[in-house]
Amino acid sequence: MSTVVDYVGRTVDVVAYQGSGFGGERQLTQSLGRAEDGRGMIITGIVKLGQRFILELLTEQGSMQFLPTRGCTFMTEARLGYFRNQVDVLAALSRALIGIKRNLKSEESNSDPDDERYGSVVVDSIEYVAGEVKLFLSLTSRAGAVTVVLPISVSI
Amino acid sequence: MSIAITDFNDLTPLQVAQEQAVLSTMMVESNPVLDFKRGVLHDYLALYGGMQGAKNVEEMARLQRSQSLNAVVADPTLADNDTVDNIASNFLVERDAGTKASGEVTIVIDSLVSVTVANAATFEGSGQQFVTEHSVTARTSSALLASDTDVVLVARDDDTYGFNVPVVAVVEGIASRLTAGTQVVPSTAFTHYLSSFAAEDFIGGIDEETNEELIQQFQFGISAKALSGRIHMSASLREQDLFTDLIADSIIGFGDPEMIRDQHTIWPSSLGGRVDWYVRTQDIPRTAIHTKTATLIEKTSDGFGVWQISFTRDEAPGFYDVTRIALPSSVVAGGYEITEDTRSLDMTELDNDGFLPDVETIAEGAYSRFQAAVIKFKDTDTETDSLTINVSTADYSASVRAMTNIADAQDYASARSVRNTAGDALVRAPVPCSLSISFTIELEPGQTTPDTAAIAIDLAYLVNRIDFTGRLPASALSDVVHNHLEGNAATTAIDMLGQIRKPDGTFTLLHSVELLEVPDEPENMVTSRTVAFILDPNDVAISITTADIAEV
Repeated sequence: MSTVVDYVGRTVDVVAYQGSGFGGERQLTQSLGRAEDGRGMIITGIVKLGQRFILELLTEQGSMQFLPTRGCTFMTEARLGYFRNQVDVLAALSRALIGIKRNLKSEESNSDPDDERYGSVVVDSIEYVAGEVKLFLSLTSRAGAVTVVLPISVSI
Repeated sequence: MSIAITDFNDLTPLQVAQEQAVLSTMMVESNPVLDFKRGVLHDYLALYGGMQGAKNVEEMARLQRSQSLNAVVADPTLADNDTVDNIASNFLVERDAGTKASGEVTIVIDSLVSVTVANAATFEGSGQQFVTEHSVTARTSSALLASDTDVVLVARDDDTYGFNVPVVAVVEGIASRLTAGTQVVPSTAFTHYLSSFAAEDFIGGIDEETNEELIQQFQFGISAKALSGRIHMSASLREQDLFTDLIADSIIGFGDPEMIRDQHTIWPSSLGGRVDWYVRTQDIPRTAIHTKTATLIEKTSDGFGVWQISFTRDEAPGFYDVTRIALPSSVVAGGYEITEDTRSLDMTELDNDGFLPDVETIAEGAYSRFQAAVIKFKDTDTETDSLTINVSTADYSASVRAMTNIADAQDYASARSVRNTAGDALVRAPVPCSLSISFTIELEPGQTTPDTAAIAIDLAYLVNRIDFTGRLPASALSDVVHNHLEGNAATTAIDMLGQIRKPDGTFTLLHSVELLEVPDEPENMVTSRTVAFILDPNDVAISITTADIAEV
């Protein structure tokens, strides 16, 4: 479990998907706060990068007013029913990753910690069943192997 | 444009990005731990903060601009009406509210029976609704009149009967005007009804003053209201209740080549002390119908004859022309040929202290309240075999076109407490240049036909609001028309025809497809400073064609 000490000297963002943790598959909830205790969570390091990646992947490009380039085409293709098999999903994901990479890199600077900067993404596997797609991706920062600092809760 | 922003789409991405950046920077400076460069804080929280910030900044900018006279003058659409009204009040100027057109409708029934039109009865004509403001009962004879709102049925020459009902438009604005003869249909039919139409031109329909027009009034608000300098004179007249909606005026005085009246001396020079005040009280002159008793003055070989009617200076002060003469019962649109229009001067004393402007010739007094006229016409319906020249008379209906309130303006300018102590001011209606305009609208295949009636109204509004410039470019018309067109629709073959009735009674025709320009004839009192363009929407002819565009 991470503590406040792990956050010293780091900049933080707020958690948009509650429920992340080490190991296994976890169901995340899209929320800035937790209903059970009324608290929110902050993140830093590679987790912050991961959240940025997920937001980018799940945001339809053009859906945010005044941020027209934010997001990618993956969810648009999913919504329009273009996915018929794993190959379709992989193709769509490949197309989307080009935009995601461009967007993430465009908002980074050399002064940012390497573990918060986009390095690469590897598609480990895609599970496709009717009505459901599971993507298993490995996101690597420019720092390579890093220590994961888990979210900690804060009052909001 | 209102000051408050109620839709974020009114903001530009740059405005939002700037405020988002400002907010992000301030947040980081306040709390360096927060990552406002990207991520949820930046993309979601700071974004909405930036949108709100941009909204505030833009609203403040609008408010600042709307409180600046310079900014309002530069772009009056910036400011909302309330704000401009506040500025206007500093110049002692108020916005003219829109008014509703009013006039009389002639109702034709099939027999001589009493008919009542109820209060608030609705009529519709030219897409506009009109209502009665009180009930009107048409009686079969004058002996049966029971109230001030009762009228007597008039027999028409097609065995029908008619009576007039005053109505007022439901909606204010220039679109509520009707021209005499326009069909006006009751919403609810009543017994014996046959037809109904506008008995006269409906007047009074005025749109609410726009910010641009209101700002033009600022100079009059702060000026001294006195018959001295031109701005002062204009301001003084506009301050009078009858002339708050004055369209334009032009003042000819000492040193102007159009000024003839100050040369009534034995010296070949101008001595000053005279002012010709051309006042446009309406955008379109009103056509009023007068019932006149004519005298037969000549029998013609075809069995008919030439008749004569006269207009005193008080019957139609400053009128332009008689547009139609017919028997009162006539149901046809046309009238008799006017064979002679002779103007004269009536310089007898008025009901003031005896003061009269110095007017010597008919041309000098043309279109002023001192003008009188004798009109001769040939009646081709009334046989004259049994009639006696200079004795036999008959009633006729004469439609007279005139600017309204010319006599009232003269009364004001001649009042002892108002007039300049060093001279006189002769109020005249502008020398009329009556226009007809035609053009073609070329649509792309598949385009819907634009509203030609609305185009004609907008064109008339433009032309009739042109100040005394003497110039009407076709491009100005094209600009108005294009406001109604979509895509690549275009205007072609714009043709402008104007007819000037000079003060001496002669006519000059103007024709151009590019620029209609008033001739410079100061010796005839015809220049850009005396002539006003007049365009009735009914005199706009629009053809619609579809362009034959080959596929590429």
